Amino acid sequence: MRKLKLILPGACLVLTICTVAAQTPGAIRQVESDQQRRQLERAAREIQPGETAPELYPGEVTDIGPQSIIKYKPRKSYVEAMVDGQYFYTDNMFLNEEDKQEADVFVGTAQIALAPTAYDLGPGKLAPRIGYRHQWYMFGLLNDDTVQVFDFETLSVREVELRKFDFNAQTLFTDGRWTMGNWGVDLGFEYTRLMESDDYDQFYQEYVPRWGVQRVFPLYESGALSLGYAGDYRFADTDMPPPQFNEDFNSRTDHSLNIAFTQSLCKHAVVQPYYRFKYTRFTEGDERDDYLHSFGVAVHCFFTQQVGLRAFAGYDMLETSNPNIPDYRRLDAGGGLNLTFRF
Amino acid sequence: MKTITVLAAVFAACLPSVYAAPLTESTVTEIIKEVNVLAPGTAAPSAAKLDALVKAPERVRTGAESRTELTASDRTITRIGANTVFSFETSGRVINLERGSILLHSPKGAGGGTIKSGGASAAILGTTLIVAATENGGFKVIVLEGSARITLPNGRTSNLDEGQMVFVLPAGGGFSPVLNVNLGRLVAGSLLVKGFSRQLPSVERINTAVKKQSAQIEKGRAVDTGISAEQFAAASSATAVANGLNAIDHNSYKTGVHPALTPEQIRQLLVPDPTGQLKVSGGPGGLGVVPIKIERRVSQPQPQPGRP
Repeated sequence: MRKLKLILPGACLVLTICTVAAQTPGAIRQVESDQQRRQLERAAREIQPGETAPELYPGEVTDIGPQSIIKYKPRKSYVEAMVDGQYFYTDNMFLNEEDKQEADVFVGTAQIALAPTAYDLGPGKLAPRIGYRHQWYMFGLLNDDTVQVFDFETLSVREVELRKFDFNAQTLFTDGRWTMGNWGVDLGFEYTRLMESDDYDQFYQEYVPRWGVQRVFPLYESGALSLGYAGDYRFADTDMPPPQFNEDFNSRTDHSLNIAFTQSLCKHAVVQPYYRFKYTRFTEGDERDDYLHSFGVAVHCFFTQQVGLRAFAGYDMLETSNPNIPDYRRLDAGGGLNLTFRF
Repeated sequence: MKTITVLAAVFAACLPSVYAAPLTESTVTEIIKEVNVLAPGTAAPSAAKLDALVKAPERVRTGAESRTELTASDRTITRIGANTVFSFETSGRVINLERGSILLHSPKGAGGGTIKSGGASAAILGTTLIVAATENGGFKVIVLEGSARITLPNGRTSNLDEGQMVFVLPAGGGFSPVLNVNLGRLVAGSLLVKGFSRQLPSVERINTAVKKQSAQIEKGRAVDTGISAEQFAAASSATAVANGLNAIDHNSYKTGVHPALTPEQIRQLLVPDPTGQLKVSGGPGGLGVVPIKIERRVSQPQPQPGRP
């Protein structure tokens, strides 16, 4: 953690020095010119339906005719059904600091939600949802590795395949996203429970109010930067808590800052590198602060409005203040297929 | 076989341009108010005359509230709006629009045409479109029927369908995305369409495009425009499925897939009951199965026989 605390400000300082050194008067003029151009470009891009396209010269409309911009409104939909499957490699399935366990993982998601088309609310639009999500986590589909485990129910030591750790997640959620221009505000609530795959025995549940805000900065025609903050509080209820702890010992609050750059590769594909910093503070049980740095890149292809394919690679680095909890590094890389239907 | 198919397709695609008659001259078929022709090398313009031939590289210049119509031998029609300067290139089927507005209608099979202005161009094949331009880089294209391929000064190309427009603001003022324009209103108020004594040969097709668009507006239709970087960036990260093991919060994940514990850490979670049997006093939290971490002890080097 100490290393990161030193590296990050150092990197910022180096970048600042480089930027200042590059600012010759010519460069400043160039930046100002770019800013003006972007402002005009944005004005050109932000023509709304019902408005008229600008005249290039006085009297143009007389010859060409009035140019009233229209927009085809999509049909209103009320239900959103989504199926998503991702298959990937992880080099650290158990999130260990040492002795990492590689695994291939499949995460399947099925979700259905009452999600009416966004409607006008004040100066923006609100998109509310209420729905159910089921997720399957499956490990070691093509990997016969076994690991030695201790089973706290039978008090026995045994060898198990990675599949022993398969689990399911059930989530009931409701949320709303209010957007205005390039701003978006999220507010939501989730109830999630985790269950063993074999007998659907629940071992963890959480109630999560969450909130967030995001701003998109269009940089140029095919590139945009997005900055966002997301926060939540997890009222956790964990089976088999350690001695002298209650079942709420995993209750915590998360606060993350996200930055992502999105570049269109063509009409139907984008590439998105991202970085996220997530701070977690455990509020019950032991005092504990986690600092999670995630960065990676994903390429998303959209064949139709319903079908999307993606490839991704991500790297996570966790530093924690609790000496009993391992710090870890983890690499995930794989691909996914998403089918979304709205009706 | 595949190579032959590809070559045939390339050959077929090239046919219209290979066999199309060049668009280097047209006959003046209508004049409204002030229309002049500037011959190369002459300073004074001469007034355009009905049925006279305008040839490349002569330039046609219209005055305020003036219009003219030129018809080529292959029935390609060029209608020129007020305050416009344009000329045919000496070869090919290229029109240079210096400023002002023109409507170009190229019948199917005539070879189409390209309108150039500054660094921008609009290429058509059997289409009717309107182009406006300014001397300082402004450029606008509206397709009335058919489709056209637009190349903007930044190198970006777009295919426009009927009822679509794209423009570049003057003096480097930025590019618009592809926009849908109300074709019915535009055609009804356009002098380039309605301001001449003859109807355009493509008037039926334009009317069909207007009706089609009106029906789409009434019905409400989703247009597959792909997805832009902005749209994707704005898509809620909170509602999308995250990638990899981050599909679920990492601390929730740890309750199902625990980090390994050392035997000592496991022993701390067990206490003997009054009978001396070990029992569970707690657990790792969550799923009660946890990998055992093998503790590595630093082994002392064993003395080799015969060595100290």
